[in-house]
Amino acid sequence: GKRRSDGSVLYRKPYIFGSPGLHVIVDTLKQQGFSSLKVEESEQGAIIHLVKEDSLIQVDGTSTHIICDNEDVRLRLKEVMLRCLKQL
Amino acid sequence: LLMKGSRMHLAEPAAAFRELGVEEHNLRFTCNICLEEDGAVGDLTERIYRRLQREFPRSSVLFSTDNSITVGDSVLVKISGDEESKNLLVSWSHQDEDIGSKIQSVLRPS
Repeated sequence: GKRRSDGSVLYRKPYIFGSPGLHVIVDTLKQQGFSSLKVEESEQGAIIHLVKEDSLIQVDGTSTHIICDNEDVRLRLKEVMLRCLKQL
Repeated sequence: LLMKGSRMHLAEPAAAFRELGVEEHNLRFTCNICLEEDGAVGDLTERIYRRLQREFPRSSVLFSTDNSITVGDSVLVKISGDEESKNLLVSWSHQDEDIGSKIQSVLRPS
């Protein structure tokens, strides 16, 4: 990030966009080593259960909600989503 | 910064996305932290509130009467539980990743 005049770091907020399909997210999860997946589809979107990691990903095209209590797993899931999205 | 023909103008990122016909993706994280801590939920909420005010002097830290605290634009900390054990729900959007990830590491028992 840049620095403010007082020396503190100014972080640019990361903007992300795109609406990856469910299969793209599931394929990327598998590529990144998440193997125990259960997918539940509904009219609003889908819920991906990561059984072994005890985590959930709710997806509905323009939004994704990662529910995960383990920080290492969360960071890996974040990387998966960033691979599926575009960043500015 | 957007260009239309030879004209340029500045736009907020969200508005620029709309003009370009792409939608900003809302990526959100939620984690739950269990604390074995005695005492009233309200007292713990107040301690966490003061702690977050100290940790994030540059962000707005707001206290709600329903034992929740908001930090920055999108971070929510909600404290629930009983006299013996508490649950902290920490939720934030990717744009506040630096604040959200720091909060959950600060509040996690070491």
